[in-house]
Order: sequence, then C-alpha cells, then structure tokens
Amino acid sequence: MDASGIDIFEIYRRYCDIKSGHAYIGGEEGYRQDSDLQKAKVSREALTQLSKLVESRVTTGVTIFDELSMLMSRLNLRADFSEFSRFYDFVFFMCRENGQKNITVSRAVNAWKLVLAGRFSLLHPWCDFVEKNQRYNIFEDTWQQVLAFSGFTHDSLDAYDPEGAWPVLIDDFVEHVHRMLGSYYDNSNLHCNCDDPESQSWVFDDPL
Amino acid sequence: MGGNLYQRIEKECEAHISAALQSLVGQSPDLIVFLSLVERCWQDLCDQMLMIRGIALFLDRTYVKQTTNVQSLWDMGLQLFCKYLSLSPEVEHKTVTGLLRMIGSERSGESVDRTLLNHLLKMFTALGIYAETFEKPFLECTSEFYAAEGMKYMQQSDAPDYLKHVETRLQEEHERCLLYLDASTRKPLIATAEKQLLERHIPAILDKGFTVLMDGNRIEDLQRMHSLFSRVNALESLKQALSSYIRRTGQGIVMDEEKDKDMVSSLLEFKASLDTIWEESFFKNEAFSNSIKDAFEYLINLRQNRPAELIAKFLDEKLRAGNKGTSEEELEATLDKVLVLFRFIQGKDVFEAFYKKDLAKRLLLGKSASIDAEKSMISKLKTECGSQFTNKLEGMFKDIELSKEINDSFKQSSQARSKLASGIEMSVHVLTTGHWPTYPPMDVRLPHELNVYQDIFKEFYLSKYSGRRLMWQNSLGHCVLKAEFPKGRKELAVSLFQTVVLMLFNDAEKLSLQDIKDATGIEDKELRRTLQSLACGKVRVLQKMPKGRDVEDDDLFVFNDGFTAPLYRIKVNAIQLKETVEENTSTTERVFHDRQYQIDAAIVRIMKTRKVLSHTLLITELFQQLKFPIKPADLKKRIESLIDREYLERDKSNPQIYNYLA
Repeated sequence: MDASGIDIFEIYRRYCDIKSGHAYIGGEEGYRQDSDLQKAKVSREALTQLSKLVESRVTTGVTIFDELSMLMSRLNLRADFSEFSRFYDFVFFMCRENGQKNITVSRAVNAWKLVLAGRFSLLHPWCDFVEKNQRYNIFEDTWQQVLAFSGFTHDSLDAYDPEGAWPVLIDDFVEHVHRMLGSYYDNSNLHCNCDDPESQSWVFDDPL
Repeated sequence: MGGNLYQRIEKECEAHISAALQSLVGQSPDLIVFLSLVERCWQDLCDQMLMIRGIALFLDRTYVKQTTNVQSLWDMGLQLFCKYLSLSPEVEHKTVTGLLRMIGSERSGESVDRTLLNHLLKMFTALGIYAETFEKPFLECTSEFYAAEGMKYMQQSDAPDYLKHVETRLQEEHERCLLYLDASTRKPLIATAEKQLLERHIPAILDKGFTVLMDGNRIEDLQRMHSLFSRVNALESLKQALSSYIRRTGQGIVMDEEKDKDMVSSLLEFKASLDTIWEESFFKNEAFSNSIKDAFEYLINLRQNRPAELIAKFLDEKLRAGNKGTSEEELEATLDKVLVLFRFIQGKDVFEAFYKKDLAKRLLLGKSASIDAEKSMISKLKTECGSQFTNKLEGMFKDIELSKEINDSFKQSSQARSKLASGIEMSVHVLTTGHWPTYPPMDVRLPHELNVYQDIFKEFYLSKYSGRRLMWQNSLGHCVLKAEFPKGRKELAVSLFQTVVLMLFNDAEKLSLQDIKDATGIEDKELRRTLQSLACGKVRVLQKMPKGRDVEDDDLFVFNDGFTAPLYRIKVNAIQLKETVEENTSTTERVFHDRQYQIDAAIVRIMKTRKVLSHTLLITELFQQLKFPIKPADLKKRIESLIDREYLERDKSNPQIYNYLA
C-alpha cells in the first residue's frame, strides 16, 4: 500500500471499518467456526497493519494533535456517543509510538485535553494529577476506563466505589480529590445523601 | 362437744392476741426497744400456743384431724396473730422499718443483735408473710443502699480497691443469708448487690483500672476482676478491654521505629506476661485466649515486613555462636516462644527470605552455635508451615553435609595427592543454586596457588558428578593466612578478597590503589572496603599513606612492619560480612517480586477455570488463595498488567467483569 498519501481521514475511515467488523483482509472469508475468536484475530491483524501504515507515514511537520483536532472538527461527535467513543479509542491508537502498546503520560494528557474538553468536569485536576503522579505509560485499559469515568463524574463522586474494578490510577485520583475537598465536603454530602434518595440508589450507568 | 370446745378456745385466743397486738400500738419510739417488744409478744404467743396445744392435745389429735376445714390449734394461733398484725399496720410497718434500720446499721459497720433479727424474720416466715412484707422492701432498700454506695466508692477509690470492697460486700451479704435471712432471699439479694455495685459500673471500672492492672501485672486484682465480672456476665466487656489493651500496647512496641532493636524481645516479654495473666487471672478462659491471639495477629501485622524480618534476625542472634551461658533447654524454650510470634506473621515469605540469608551465613562461616538447635528450628518451621516451606532450608543443610564428604574424598583422591602443592589446605562448600540466597557474582584474579587448587578441585568434582556446572562464589570465601611479621608470627583469619590483596605483599613492599586494582581485578567499591578493613580497622596489617579513614584514589599501601598483637590468631573483620542496607532492600525486593509472580499466577489460574468473573469475586478468591498480606490496590495493578498483556479483557458490556483470553 502506498503510505505517503494517506491522511488522517483515511486512517480513521479504515479504523472504523476494522472496528465495525467490515475489514477486508486479502481474501480471508473462510471464518465460520468459532467466528468471534476469528473475528477478533482478524481485526487485531488489520489494526497491526494499519498501525504499521501509520508509522511509515512521511511526517509533514504537523503534529498528531493538530491532525486529530482537525479530524475532530469535521466529525459530528456531539450527537452520537458511540461515534465519540470510537473516536476516543482512535485517539489512543494514533498516540502510540514505535509500535508500543501504551502511550506516554505527556501524550495521554495532551490527548485528554483535546478530546475530553467540555465532557469531563474534572479534566484539569485529572490531567494535573496524572502528570504529577503517574510514572509509567498509560495502558489502553486505563485510557478506556477514563472515558467511562468522565461520564460517571457529572454530578459527584459520591457513588464511586473504590472496591470496584476501576484502574488504580483512577482510585488514587478519587482519593486525591476527596482529600483536596477536605472534611466539609464529606459533611455536606452526608447530608445530601440522606435528603435525596436518588443519589443513594444512583447506579453506574455504562455509557459504552 | 369437740367443736364447741374448739370454738371457745379460738374465741379466747382471738381476744388475747388482739389485745396483745393492740398493746403494742404506740409503744416505745425507739425501734430497737419496739422490736424486742414485738419479739417478746411473738415469743409469748408461741409459748402459750404450745401450752394450750399440750393441754388440749386430745382435741388437736381427734376433732381437728377428723373435721375438714379446721386448722390445728397451733396454726389457728398463727393465723389469728397474722390477722391482727395486718389489722394494725402501724405495728407491722414499724417492725419492718426497724428490721431494715438494723440491717442498715450492720452494713455501716455497727454490730447489731442478730438473734433478734433472726427471731423476728423467723416470725415472718412462720406467718407466711416473709416474701411480701419483708423481702420486697428489703431488696428495694438494698438496691438503694448499694446504688448510693457504688456511686460514692467509684469516685473515692481506685478500681482495685473498689473491687476488693465489692468482694467483701458480696461476702457479707452471703453471710447475712446464713445468719438471719431466709435462704430463699440469697439469690435475689446477691443479684441486687451485684447489679448495683458491679453491673452498672463495668465500663467505668474497666476504663479506670484495667490498664493500670495490666501494666502492673497485678495477677490477684485481675483475677478478682475476672471472677466478679463473670458473676454479672460482663466477661465480654473484659475481653474487649483486654483485646484493645493488647492492641494499644503492642502498637507502641511495633510501630516505634527507634525501638526496632528490641521489638522482638519486647513482644516476647509482653506475650509471656499476658500468658501468665491468662493462666492465673483469667483461669485459662478459651475465649480470652482467642482474643489474645487475634490481637497479636493484628498488632504484629501493623507494620508490613519489618516484624517478620526482625523475628528472623532475632533467631539469627540466638542461633549464632557466641551466646555463652544459655543452655540447650533455654535455647529450645526461646525458639518455641519465637515460633509463637512467627505464627502470627502473615508475610511468612519475608521471614523465610531473611532467615535463609542469615542461615546461609551461619552455615558457610561456621558460626552456628549448634547444628542440633538449627535442625530443631527447621523441624519446628516444618510442622508449622509444611515441608514446602522448609525444603530449601533443608537443602542447605544437606549441601553442607555433602560438602564435608566431598572434601574428605577429595583429600584422599589421587588428583589431590599428586598435583597439589603442600602447605595449602582448602575446604569447599558445594551449594545447590536455588537452595541458597542468590549472591551477586564478584570477579577476582586469584593468586596462582589458589587458582591451581580451584582447577584441581573442579576437575575432581566434575569427574564425580559430570554434567554439573561449578561457579565460584568469591565473595563468600574465607581463609586463614600465616604471616611472618618482624615482631612475630601470626595467623590471620580473613576473607578471600583480603587474602588476595595481602598475598600481593609477598612480592612487594608498597603498592598503590591502582596497582592493587590491576593485580586483583576486584571491583572498585569492594576493593576500597577490603583495603579499609586491612589498613584502617582495628587490626592494621597494612599501612595506608596518607593516613585517613577513607581510601582515596592516590593512596599507597605498605606492609606493616611494626604489627603486633597479643593473640596468635587474629580475625580481621571484613566489612562486607556485615549486612549492608542494599543487601537488606534487595532481600525485601526479591520477596515482592516473588509475590507479584504469585499474584499473576493466581489470577490466571482462577480466570482459567472460571473464564468469566466479576471483579469483586476475583478479588475475594485471590484473598483466599494468597497467603501473604496484600492490598486490593496491588491486586488491581496486577490485573491491569494482565489486561495489558492480553491475558484478560474487560467485558464489553460491563467493565466490572473480566473475561479470560485463551
């Protein structure tokens, strides 16, 4: 495939195809048995190929964030959450370097500031916290869970369950926020909880 | 005829009794005097009725027996007395008040006429009005009295005195029942006293006195507390107080980093004193024993790792040679006690790592006080934790024993006899990798004589055990050198590195640091330490120029001509034999690494069987399977890492559920 001419729109289009299962890999149609596993395998291979293609692109002086922000402005992300969610995963895909599976903290923070602006009420505290406290690269799983977490925090962190399956980084962040807000926060919330039965029964609604 | 007589006697009696009781009304304001009047009235009645019955015995035996609804003469008299007593409430009331007043004064320490009390109370019993007329107000009055006394004494005296007082009071009340109260009163009376004196004050007594008693090891007072508390079912509170006392005190011992040196011996002392208290004061109460255990487990695991490490160290001190004056039995007893602490440790792997490291030193340097004690310790650990735990430790002993045999047969072998230069003796420990702690390899260029020796041994060993690989652990070797100083011959007990350095001075008088480094090939930091031990320590067989504590780049070293020492054999302490901070942290780190693998393995094992599992259930199962203390966050980190390595994935529809990826 010709690598030089491919732009971010094309990459995104192919990425969406792979994710939605429309990927077409050189004449491999024969997956009938155990198709889920096969599908996963095929799409993983397709992603690897795509990422090789991305790696081999000639850099034209524009940063990946410029490109992503351009792409973002053309997409209708406000309306469709599943579309946004896919784009969010795509951002992680694009931020990887040198065939690594994780992305660096600084890239992750920049990317979050770009994609989650206006969607995550704790975006800035979150980015500051990650920059200060995270020493290792960001896993894909953590990346994905941050999106879920951002949707979760619209009202307050009361219903957050530190015993749940959230990544440790998010656990630490929530603890940090609670500490920062201090005791008056705890007290006032204790009150809220009693008065408002809804806030107690409020269950995590999976946005994915 | 009989009926007529009976009626007339009854009439006569009635008139008499009514008059007798009437005469008591308004009598003497002094209660004691009044009581004796009542007593006399009662006594008279009894005498008179007996007399009448004696006279009219025939009537009593025939008419009364044959006719229904007719009482015996005696009963008739009692009934009439009872009737007229109740008709003059003043007399009855005054009698009861008088009795209560008398008992009250006796409680306040005055002596009273107990016979009077006894008689009057017997009267109430005989009349069948004891419970209603006397017992009820008596118990009320008792309750009031002890309520007030309890309050007052709790404020005035400290807890042990208070308990002593309560014990006396209960004893007194008990005696009161034997002396003049009706036997049926004993139970409610004691219960009332217990309730007012004890039950109400349990929390205050514990609050005020328990810590003092425990701190002071006051066996007798604690025993009193236990037996008194058991009477009012307050042992649960006592148990809780004990538990929180142990936790608090233990926390002080465990958490204070400055006292780390004495932590284990303090804990042992603490445990011993608790055991004595448990045996002698708490009558070996099973529940108490459990709560002592729980509390100990809690406190010893308050700090991760350090207690386990210190217990291992403590054992090292005990098992190392040089503990003169402790007999074998004493040593055994100490080991047993330490084992009790060991049992509470959750991170047994930390203990094992440090124990192993110290054991290796004892075995390799021949520093063990007694192999029997060592083995007994191992067998104790084996019964405690199973053979898997001690496998490697036992392997270490086996290595040492085998090495002895190998050395013996080496000395007998033809290789050794034909090729070895005389004047050198060598003994080799052949250690199985994996049984022993790992030591970082350290290079050294050995003097020719030693090199030859090593090669011959290697040849000999491999001819016996082909296919094995021998690696020399230079940092562990130690030697005895014969040295000719101008002022006398000496034997120097030194490490292999020290030996290598010293042997250079066979051929040279003065060497620079660089010379020595080039000739020996010892790593820089290690070499500086070695030289420091030879030229700057207590025993200075070399001299450093210029003088100073630290070895600098341009320093020169000279054989010390003027060396003298009172003893023939001298040990030159090698600095590397002391435990360094790095060594310590590396041991701890190794334990943590091992744990990570164990966590990963456990997660994969569980997920492989379950395929799909929620986060909560996975964590619960992990806590069951893993035998060391661990924080949920640590488990999560491993789960995240396994997700990243694609062993697991989050379920697409519910991020709280993990799927196993084959």
